[in-house]
Amino acid sequence: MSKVLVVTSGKGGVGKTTSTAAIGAALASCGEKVVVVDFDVGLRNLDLVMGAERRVVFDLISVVQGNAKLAQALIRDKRVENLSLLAASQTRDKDALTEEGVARVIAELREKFDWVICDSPAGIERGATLAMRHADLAVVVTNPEVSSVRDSDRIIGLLDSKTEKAERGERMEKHLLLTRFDPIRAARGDMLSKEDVLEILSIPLLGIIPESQEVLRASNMGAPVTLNSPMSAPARAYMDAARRLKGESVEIAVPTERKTLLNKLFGRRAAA
Amino acid sequence: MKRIQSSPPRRSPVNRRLAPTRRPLADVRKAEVAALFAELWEQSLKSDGLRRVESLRRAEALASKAGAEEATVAAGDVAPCLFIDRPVRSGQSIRFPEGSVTIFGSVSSGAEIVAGGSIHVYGALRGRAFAGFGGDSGARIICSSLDPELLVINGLYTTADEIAASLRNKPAQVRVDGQAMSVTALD
Repeated sequence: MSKVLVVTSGKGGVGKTTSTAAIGAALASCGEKVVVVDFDVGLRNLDLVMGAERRVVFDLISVVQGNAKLAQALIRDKRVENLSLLAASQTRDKDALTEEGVARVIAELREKFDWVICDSPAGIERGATLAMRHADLAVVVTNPEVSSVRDSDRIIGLLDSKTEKAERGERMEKHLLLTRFDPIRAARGDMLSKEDVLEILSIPLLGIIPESQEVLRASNMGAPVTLNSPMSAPARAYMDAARRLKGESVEIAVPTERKTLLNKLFGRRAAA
Repeated sequence: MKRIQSSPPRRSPVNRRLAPTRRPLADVRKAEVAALFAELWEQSLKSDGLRRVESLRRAEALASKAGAEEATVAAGDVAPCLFIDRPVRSGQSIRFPEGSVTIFGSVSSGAEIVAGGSIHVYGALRGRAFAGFGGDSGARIICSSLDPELLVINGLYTTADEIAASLRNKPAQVRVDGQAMSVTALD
């Protein structure tokens, strides 16, 4: 039973692409067949984070417009064999996406993979609405600050009205992924707390990803953080989130750097 | 909540001082609210006094189906009441000029509720609420937590800045008292 998951947020720069790559890689390393699809046509980034930018020949637009077969456009990951990427086109814009074309591609991907993870562009326009259109469930990526929370709220409203599932009268499954979370600043009140965000958005929490240098480092290396430094705090948080998506019940905690065995052995100071 | 059944809601001293919210406001703001109100009027009148956005349409469609769990329109010989059984999100707008609106959930900042009658929110009211839309000064706005962007009852309005801090984020009732808006705590 394949699932189409949209990673969305409304606001830009909150971590949609990073989260798509990290969760995709985490699910794939659990043995699931996963494809990550970049819907940010014109501003493609997912290929960079996945380290596949040199291998993009055909992309989502070529397949949507029928210029290439799906099999030609799928890029197999070199590190995890169950993981594939469908890149966006950098030279086109969102108008190149047609509703029927996207529906056809998603239907084809459903047959081949257990998880189809759609990386939504920021905003609430065509690209974002098409990315969420066929989803079975959504991960709403939110930073603990007011503008991100309000934009997420708006996106949840759209998920509840503009998706195929909503139009059929079914309830869209939505999960909150709180990213760039700094427990120390939240405790000081410089940042919204987990409770504040949950109170406003009132959807279930999928995970809390702590703010960490490892995330940026992994992106620059062209690898999902869950593969680049699997023992780091954000990687473990993403791994837990992936397991929750699979239906396992994992207690929600904010992993910290200091818990790792290596750090303990070498007595290194944990990153704050 | 018990108190309101037996005796009228207690009014805090702070609120009494605040009560004449009708103190002259900058003309610009007045004009803005007037324009907003006129726009809402127009939109509602254009389609036989009824224009509802997608959320409401969907709510109705759901109500007509068997489940009818998300939203129901209760109509009898009395004024109809619209029930919304989920939060109203930023950017959504619920318009029901025919009667009252009751929401089981919060109204987010950036959302708006327009009701011909009263508005009841069993959750936090963080958006804009227009009650008594169409001329009912007896309409009220009642919520479990008051933190609104704008409160309007039949053209009289007040913003969050004008509400005493002691009343914010608490259960409250808003109504028209003479020519002024009156905000009172519910407990």
